[in-house]
Amino acid sequence: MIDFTQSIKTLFGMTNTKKILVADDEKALAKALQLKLNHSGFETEIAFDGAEALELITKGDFDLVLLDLVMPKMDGFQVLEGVAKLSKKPKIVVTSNLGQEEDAEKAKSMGAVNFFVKSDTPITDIVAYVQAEA
Amino acid sequence: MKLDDAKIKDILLSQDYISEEDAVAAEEAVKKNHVPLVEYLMTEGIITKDLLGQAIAESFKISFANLMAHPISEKIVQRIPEEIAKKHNVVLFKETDKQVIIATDDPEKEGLAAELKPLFAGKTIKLAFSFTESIKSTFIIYYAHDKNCSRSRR
Repeated sequence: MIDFTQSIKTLFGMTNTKKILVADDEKALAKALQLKLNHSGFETEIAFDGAEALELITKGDFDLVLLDLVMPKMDGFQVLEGVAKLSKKPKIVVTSNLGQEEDAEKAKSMGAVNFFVKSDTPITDIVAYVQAEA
Repeated sequence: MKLDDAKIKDILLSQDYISEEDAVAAEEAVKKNHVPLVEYLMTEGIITKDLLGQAIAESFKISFANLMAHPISEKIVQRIPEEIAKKHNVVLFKETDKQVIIATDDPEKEGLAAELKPLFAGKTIKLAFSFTESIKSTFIIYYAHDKNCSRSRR
């Protein structure tokens, strides 16, 4: 059966697809997250360093950003600083190998809504979180 | 449990860990250079050992026990007697009041749950996937016989 409502929305660009930015210099992980999120119906972009991430966030209209902390050119904390100055801010979820409590507290105090330690979190859990929160 | 290149490729593709383009390129490179698929994917940075473990675990609908990233205490590991652990290639990964998580390299092995059940009376047994080599490394670290063998080889 044809879904006319969906067809009209698609025709006029009214789809409710959420946009996610994956900012991570671990290419294999970033690409796997992108594939899984695309498969779940999200529109995604990848940034492999912090400067590229902040540039894309500033220009783009992302609903949620998965942000690594240790990245080349600009680290995740610097990206959070940059995002704080923007008028429209996406939700930022930190995914990092830094597992110290103070890193999570610092990131949250700078605007991150959640913090996942990558080595403790399967990527299926990260995708499930995005599905629930984006 | 033996996973050949074709099966690994299927798992990585079906669980969305690598793209179709990467899989095709990998297949061509493997044929041309006569290297194992996993070696190629890791060398090219297309997959990591951790992601491969997660993908295989996901294909069995269980979690991945990364024994290399999460060292376990000797006391926990030795809750499974050496003989049973080695017979089934299993390691006790986590234990709580209500459940145990057991790392295995063959989640579909017949008789596994039945043999482990008496060791953990009243607790739910959950299986997690781990690589054979990670399980064997854990044996060397924590079981007396392997410890002695590795010392005498020095």
